[in-house]
Amino acid sequence: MTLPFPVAAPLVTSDLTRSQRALRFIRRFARHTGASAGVAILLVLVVCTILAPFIAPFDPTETDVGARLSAPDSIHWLGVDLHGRDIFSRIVWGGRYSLAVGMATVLLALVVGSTIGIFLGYRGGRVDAIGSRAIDVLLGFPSVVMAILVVAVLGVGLVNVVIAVAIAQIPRFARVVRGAVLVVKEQLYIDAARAIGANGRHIMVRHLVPNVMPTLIVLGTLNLGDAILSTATLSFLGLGAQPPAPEWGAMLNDGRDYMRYAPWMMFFPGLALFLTVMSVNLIGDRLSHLLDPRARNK
Amino acid sequence: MGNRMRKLMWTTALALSLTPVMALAQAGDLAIVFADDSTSDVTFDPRVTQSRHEEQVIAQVFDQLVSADADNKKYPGLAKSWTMAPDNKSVVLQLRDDVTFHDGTKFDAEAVKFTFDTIVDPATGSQGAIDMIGPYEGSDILGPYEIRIRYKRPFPTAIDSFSENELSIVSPTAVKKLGGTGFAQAPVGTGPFKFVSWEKNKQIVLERNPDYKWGAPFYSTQGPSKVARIIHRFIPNAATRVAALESGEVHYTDLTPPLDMRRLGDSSKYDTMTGVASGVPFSLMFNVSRGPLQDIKVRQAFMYAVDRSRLSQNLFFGYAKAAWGPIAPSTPAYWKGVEEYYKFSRETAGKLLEEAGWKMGSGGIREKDGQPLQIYYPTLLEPETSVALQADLKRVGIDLKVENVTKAKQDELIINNQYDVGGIRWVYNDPSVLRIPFDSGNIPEPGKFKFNWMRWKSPELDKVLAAASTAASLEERTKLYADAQKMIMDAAVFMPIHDQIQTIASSKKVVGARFAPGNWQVRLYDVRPAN
Repeated sequence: MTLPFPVAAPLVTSDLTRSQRALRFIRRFARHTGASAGVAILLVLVVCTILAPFIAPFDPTETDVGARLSAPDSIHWLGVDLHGRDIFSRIVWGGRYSLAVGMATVLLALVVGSTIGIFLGYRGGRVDAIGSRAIDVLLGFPSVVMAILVVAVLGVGLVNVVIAVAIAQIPRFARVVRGAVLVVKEQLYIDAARAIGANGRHIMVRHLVPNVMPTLIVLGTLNLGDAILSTATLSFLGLGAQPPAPEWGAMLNDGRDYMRYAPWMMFFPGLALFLTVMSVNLIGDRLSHLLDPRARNK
Repeated sequence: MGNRMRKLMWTTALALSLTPVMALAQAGDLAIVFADDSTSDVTFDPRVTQSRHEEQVIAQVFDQLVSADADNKKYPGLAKSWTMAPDNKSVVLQLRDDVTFHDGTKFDAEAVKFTFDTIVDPATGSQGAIDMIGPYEGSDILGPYEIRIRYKRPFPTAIDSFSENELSIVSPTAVKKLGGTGFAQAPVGTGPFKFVSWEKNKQIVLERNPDYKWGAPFYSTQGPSKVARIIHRFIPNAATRVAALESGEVHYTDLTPPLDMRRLGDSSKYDTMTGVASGVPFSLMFNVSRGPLQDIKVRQAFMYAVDRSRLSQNLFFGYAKAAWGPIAPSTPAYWKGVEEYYKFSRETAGKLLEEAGWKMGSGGIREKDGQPLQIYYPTLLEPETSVALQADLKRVGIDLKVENVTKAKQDELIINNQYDVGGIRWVYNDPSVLRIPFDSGNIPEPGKFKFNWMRWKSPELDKVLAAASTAASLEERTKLYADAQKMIMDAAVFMPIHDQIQTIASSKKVVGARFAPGNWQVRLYDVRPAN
């Protein structure tokens, strides 16, 4: 029961082997040009990020004021910032912050949010009623405002940004997962499990979690773009990465006052951010399309 | 990169950042718009404020007993003449008899007495004026337009103090009617402009005082201002302020970025003026109560390691100069000797650190007893300067850990002694400002936010500063303040970085703005159409 299939159809029979099914899934995923492009861009970004020490031609924090604000050329491919730091190197290294922080955020929100969602959905009754209303209230706050609030309490810094953005995302996971659980728990096999004496914890961990997994994957991917943007937003506001870290949002902020004289200071980090978020969203969209039971068999 | 590409990129970025700006055209009368970078104004009561931004508005609405021009030359103001007693303990002033406040109240000796008495009343909550007013004891009304101001100790700079914005004369009627909080939001003075309205974080509207005929003689304008209305807009983002100037939405912008100053100054449509502010330059305070900075050699090495001339040139493109002493050169009693201290030398810095036992470790950061030489600098000021400092310090093996924090967080760290370095600056037109950061009694403690962030106790310096503030003659005062500056530099507890600059860009359609003493606030009374 751990196949990447959606919530409402766990008993689909198929004579295909697991690897054949995976292959078919990939083929269908790749049929969409946008999604393929998304995967390609993201792959390039991830590889660049991992190999940053070998790809970046300069130390991202090394200053060289003689070259400051100079335009892109054959040595500094994407130009130089106010302190003479190579923007290409900073973007390559900065990918580490955006991707790592984004993923850590989503993972944290996913684990906590789905735990809450599964618990509420499975328990039902008054606990669910109260919990769900609390989630509704939290959803009422715009997530960036919520994150700024949390950073104000915890203090600035990337770790706190992870916590802050995760807290802002938890209600979304909790609500969607709760909904999925409500559907799954009415299935016959859950009754069957209960009939043979499985307790609540067993049912939640062994039967509910695997069956809401596709929903979680889609939701996680869709939220990854949002998490990366929120992180950059907080860093742009000076609440996230601290100098001299080459975080993309912080780089945007650095470039703000020099927009007219050195537009590359803002343009290229912005482009990197845009490409990352776009590719993640393209992948997320396609996944959600493929894993949606209504669309799956098209 | 091609010019077209560059233009495309910056216009895209600009379009994304521009906030909608409203049209303010007022047919017929000259209305000027002044764009200010602050959004934190709370009071326009001169007796209370300690904010340079609030004073930009106060400077238009109020007059002082003595008027000073940008070079600090004194002229008659609300007082026609004055006589200092030989013992420097009292001043007799002859006041003008033809002045009225905006609310119709007659200006007289009562108003002066009321203003000064309320400044020293703790209920007023004065932050700036209370320091400016010196050892004020009381006032004797000698006639409707004659008053004697008395001091507990000799106060040779009394006349200078009368020219400060903080000691502007307020309307007693308005204060009594509105109360302290009400007056803070609807101030009433005798100045060339009346306060009309204030939309928080957005704008303040001032309107011409049609009865004004008591302006100081150094202005070209005599009688009511040529400006009918001043709209004082708050635009915190520098690029947006400049864009507003270029689109014709505003006539003056403050704190204009240096590169824009250069470009606008070269153009035929804009004027620029730069003021090097008096007071404490942008500086770092070394916390001597904990960590590696307890060692004077590390503090000296820190200062030697940073190339301040180059840093200022790089960040301010020649508009701000490196600072060498705890008060800026334009401040009275500046001691030139500070310029000989801690001139950039990476070798000296390295040598001092070696002597202090900090050996170069792996990764280019020095170590001692297994501890890296890390110095924690939480700040809310000048992130670009922090990066430049980091880079220079790393070259001698010091790891400056910068954290850009909120005001609340900074205050908490300062109060709880959880920092190694603090960044600070003051615009202030008198060396007595030194008491604020250097007095031993001003070390912050839980519940009491104060400004001796060095946590440095020097009874000798306290004594010199106290003596200077009550010196019987100006020569003695200058001498004592020179001693104080030398003691501060010798102790290596305070690192001046660069002078503070006020960079004003303006449309060529108007002329006549001038700096107030201290080179920060801009007086708009004299503004008129260029043609």
